[in-house]
Amino acid sequence: MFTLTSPPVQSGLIPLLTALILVGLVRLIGGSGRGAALAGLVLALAVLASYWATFRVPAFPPVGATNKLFYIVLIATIAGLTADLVAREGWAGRAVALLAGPFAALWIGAEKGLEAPWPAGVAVLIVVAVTAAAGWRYHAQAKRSSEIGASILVLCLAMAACAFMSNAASSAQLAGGLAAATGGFLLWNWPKARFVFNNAALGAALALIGGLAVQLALFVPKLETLALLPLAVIPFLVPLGARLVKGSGLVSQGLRSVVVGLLCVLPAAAAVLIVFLTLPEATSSSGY
Amino acid sequence: MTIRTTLLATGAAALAMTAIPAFAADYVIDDTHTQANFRVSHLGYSTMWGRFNEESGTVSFDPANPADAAVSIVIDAASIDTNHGERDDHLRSPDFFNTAEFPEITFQSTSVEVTGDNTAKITGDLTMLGVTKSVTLDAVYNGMGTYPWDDTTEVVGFDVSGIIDRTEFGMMYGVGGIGTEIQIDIELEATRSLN
Repeated sequence: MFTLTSPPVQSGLIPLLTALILVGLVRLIGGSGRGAALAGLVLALAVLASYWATFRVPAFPPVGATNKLFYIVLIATIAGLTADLVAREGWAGRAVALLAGPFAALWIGAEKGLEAPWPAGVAVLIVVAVTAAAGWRYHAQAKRSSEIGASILVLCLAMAACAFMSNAASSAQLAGGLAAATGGFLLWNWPKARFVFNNAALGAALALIGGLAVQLALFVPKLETLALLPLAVIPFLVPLGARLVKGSGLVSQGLRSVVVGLLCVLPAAAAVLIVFLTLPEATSSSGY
Repeated sequence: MTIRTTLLATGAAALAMTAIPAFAADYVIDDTHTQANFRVSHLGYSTMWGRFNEESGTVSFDPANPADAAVSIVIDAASIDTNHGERDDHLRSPDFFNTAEFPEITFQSTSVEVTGDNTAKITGDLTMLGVTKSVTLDAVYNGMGTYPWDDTTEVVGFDVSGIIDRTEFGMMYGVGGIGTEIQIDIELEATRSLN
């Protein structure tokens, strides 16, 4: 059951424990200044560890959406880390947050999008626009790491459910891996946000989300191309937490991320419901 | 022209004709009598069988000179059939054949090495998931002739088999559980009109 070939281990235990253990280690080694600022990098490393456990390292240059995802996350992580080391709040960080999702969406989906402008091309453009805007918003609120984490956690769980229902198990696992890594990071940041959601974490998360969204929309035959559209709302619900829950105490901070998470559940449930309702009729009733 | 020169000219022409190599005939793969089958280990407990239901392509073959044979096959990846609809949907997804991104699997022979009276090794380029690798398959020539009910169509038949490693083509999902070595068995008939 608990072997490296088990999907719950590949996409649950490994990213969760990697994030949980390494966040503390980075903080310990780097101290309260640089260590705290770089702790978010661990989220990206946990995602890559989950990918490795599921697929191993794909050949370079990668061919096909799934193989490209590894290098997309790796490149976004390196770019994010570089920005974190130079100046987290500077233009480089903003550029990583802004471009990580569009880069992933275009690398995976541009060819297919040009081939079939509707609906594939439109889906790619939506992912490009949403992930760019989400990156911009998340970057501006990077200190609200627990609220950002809560929104990414719910978003990824919804993507995993949609992928799983559509017989795309590996996409479900990758989304689950990011959810678990975010969970491990959140355990350090809830109720109090200790570590900023830095550019390495943002870059890796948005790259994987953008890439997976395009992969699911374009290359999973059972999934209705625009069924994931409600998920586009989720990144923009983070500021609502601060409006609904005032105060800076520990209880308020903890409650705020819970409220954000609950708000995100609504569009997440809508997407899952749409995918469920638009699934083609099963050609067989038995599991395998 | 004397009788002598006429005989010489006729003899020279006959010699020239025998020196011309026999040309391979071109056949079109008969989809209704061709099957691309595969087998793969399921967690080491059993062997799962599957097939692709839609193939097309050509065979160029001369029984007198089999080393010059050539074969080109195109398989519709989405026609995968393992007798289980849910599993077939999963196999079409990016986890395995990623048929929306890579709709075709192709094989183009590059050389044929005759190994026996009716056997040969066919080496060629197999393209799957956008990755092209050279593979060598074992071929058995089953025969050539016309149908008993139709002497205007010539048919030629082969059995082709071999093993490929799916991870070499970037199909990495489920490694450690689902086998990486895939046994391929292609039963092939190809026809041409004699009219």
